[in-house]
This record gives sequence, C-alpha cells and structure tokens, in this order.
Amino acid sequence: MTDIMSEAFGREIVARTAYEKEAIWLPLLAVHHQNAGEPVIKGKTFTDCVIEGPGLLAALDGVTFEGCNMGAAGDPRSLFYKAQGPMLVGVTPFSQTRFVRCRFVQVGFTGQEAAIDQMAADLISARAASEKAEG
Amino acid sequence: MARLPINRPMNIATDLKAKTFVDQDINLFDLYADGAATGVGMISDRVFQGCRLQGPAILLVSTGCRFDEVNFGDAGGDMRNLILYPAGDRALGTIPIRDCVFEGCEFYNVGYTGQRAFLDQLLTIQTRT
Repeated sequence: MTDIMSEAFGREIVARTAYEKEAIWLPLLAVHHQNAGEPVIKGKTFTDCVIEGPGLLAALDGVTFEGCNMGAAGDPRSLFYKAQGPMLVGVTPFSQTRFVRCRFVQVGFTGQEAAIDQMAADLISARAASEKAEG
Repeated sequence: MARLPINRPMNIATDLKAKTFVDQDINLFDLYADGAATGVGMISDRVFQGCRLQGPAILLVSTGCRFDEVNFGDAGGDMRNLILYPAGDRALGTIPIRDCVFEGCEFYNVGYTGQRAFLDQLLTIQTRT
C-alpha cells in the first residue's frame, strides 16, 4: 500500500505536471509541494479529477477552470473568500494551471478580488441558465 | 510563566480521537478528516495545550472557542494576512471548530474566518517580528 506521507510519494507527485482521472486531496498536494520548496503549485493540468478539501484554492496568474463543477452551495458566493491583506496564509496557491472537467469537493476559492467577483458572477449566471433550461 | 514559544522536539499526535492534546503536534486537516470519516464535519469539544497546529487550513471559528496565550501564526507584520471574509453566508472549504480550548498553542500556515466580531478582534492583535 502506498504511503501517501512518504518522501518518495511526495517527490513523485510534485514532479508530475499532468493528473488525469484521479482523486487529489488538496491539503496533501499542498504539503508535498511545500516540503519540496514550492509554496506555489505551478504548471499543472488536472483533467477529470476530483479535487477534495477541506482547503482554499488561491487562483493566481494563469489559472483556468474549464467545464468544472466547483462544488455544492445554495449560494455560489459561499465558495468564495476575500483576502484582507496582501499575503495569503493557510491557502493552497496555484499558478499557470488548468483544471479541465474537474469536480471540487469541500474547496473554497480566493484570489484577486476582480477574479473572484468574476467567478462568482459566472457561476450565478450559469446556474440561472441551467435552471431556465430545465424549465 | 510564558508558554510560548514552543521549543520542545516534534511529537506527532497519534490518537486523533482524543479529547485533550497536551504537548503534541497536529495536522489540522488530518484531525478534521479523522472526524469526517465518521460523519463529524467539524472539530469540536477538544482541548489543546502546548500544541503546534499545522495547516494549510482555514479555520472557521464558531461558538465556544477560547484562545489563551496563543500564537495565531506568522502574519508578516499585518494580521489582515491571516483573515479571509466569506463572500457568502456559508463558508465552504474551511475547517469548522466549535467548543475548543487552545492554551499555549502555535498555529502554522493557518488562516481564519468566521463571525465578523471575532475577525475584528483578531485584527486588534499586535504583531511581533
């Protein structure tokens, strides 16, 4: 059985740039990258993955979400957080990363205020369109 | 006598179902996951004394929590760096804590969210470098 806390597993998961059809535990991914001296997770593509929290994903530069299910919330704004200071503590930062058809479970999102407002607006409009289509 | 900083060697907690943790080191997401596996989606009714508590995690501080002589973490000289305000009326992705006591503890890579009154109180804490 794989020891997910082992250094060997950590090195392997940090070195990869593509993850497909996998369950990713966000806190573990963050810890292994931090242990490898990479506090920002960079240059990855996640395709058809389940990204599981608890955790807050900080979307920095060049992070895209394509056809993703961002998580279950009556009010989509409950998925989003506004940082109060210039630094972000306790979050998992990503840059230059694509999430394609991924499903997020127990994950919140933060980042630049304008980007967060845009994501929330997109989710609300997508939900409204979906409800209208269902009649 | 001042309980901080914690200078003892690492002592990783092995029984995550314990109600009281003394001089132990705990990954908050492990503690949360241990409870979530049995359907408890929060950390509640626990006492932490002299513990190091590690993230990455955002704590949703609910009712009945007490912090006594605690280092909330490296704020980089500005407590606002530790605080996130939820944009909606719920707070998904966080680790909720309720009825917990923290005495002489240190937090690492942990942010905080919750009621505005609690967050405003956090903002009044003087930072040290």
